[in-house]
Amino acid sequence: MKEVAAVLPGVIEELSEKGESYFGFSLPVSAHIFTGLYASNAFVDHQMEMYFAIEKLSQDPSLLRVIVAHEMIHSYHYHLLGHAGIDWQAIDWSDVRNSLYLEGVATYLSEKLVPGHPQHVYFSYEDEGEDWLDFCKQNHKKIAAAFLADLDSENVNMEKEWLRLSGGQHFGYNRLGYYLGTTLVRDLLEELQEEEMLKMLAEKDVAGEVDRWLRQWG
Amino acid sequence: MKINNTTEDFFRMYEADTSFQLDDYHQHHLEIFTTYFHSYCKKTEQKLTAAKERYPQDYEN
Repeated sequence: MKEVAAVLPGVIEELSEKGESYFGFSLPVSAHIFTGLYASNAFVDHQMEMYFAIEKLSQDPSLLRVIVAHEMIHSYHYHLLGHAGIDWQAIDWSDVRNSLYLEGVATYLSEKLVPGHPQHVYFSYEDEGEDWLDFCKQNHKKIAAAFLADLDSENVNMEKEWLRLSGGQHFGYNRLGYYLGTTLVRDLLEELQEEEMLKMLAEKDVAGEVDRWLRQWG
Repeated sequence: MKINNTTEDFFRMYEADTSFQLDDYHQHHLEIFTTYFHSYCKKTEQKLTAAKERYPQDYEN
């Protein structure tokens, strides 16, 4: 915790500069650093503030850069959606398809902001996770089909099964929604400019887009 | 962007008192812990105790 606390503020400063040069504005919110109870390591709340709990984070500055980039992009994305005139009241936060898109954006763009890591690091924020990504790549169709089937079922806690560390009952691999979301974003960018893709939640039916994207694999 | 680093407070309180009460740290930083306990970590006695037991092994990391 002492080592993480010593390096994390510098990493946040560094990423703050990178974010400003990438997005063209600085974030008018705070980044909170604290000691938590071994729950979530990092998150952004609905006020777009960033939170980092040090007790489980890696001391490796290069890995910290990846998770800080991920959270900072969430905050930038919310700000950009705000600039695009999003009606936050109209967003269904319980719809996992919105979460898929939001996590996909943060994961995809974190690689742009801090390039040079093995691809799996952008998903796991640690050195491990190569087998996880191999599994995703080899089973892409199966994973998409299972997600689609779960969407139709009323008995699945989608957020947990597909996005949380505590999920992953289907295949024995958790957080597969991050892989789906990132692949979705990569595919969207084949047709859309990055700026348009970032404004989608304000201007388009993201849930419908996710459905269409998933259905191409049956 | 502002950085609100509360870890110095945590270390100071932790090191000053062997009967350190985590609650004091939480009460000092409601700007964080209101959100944390509301949406990201349900506050239970079990979690508080488990965390206090785990801190020593992770303290210098």
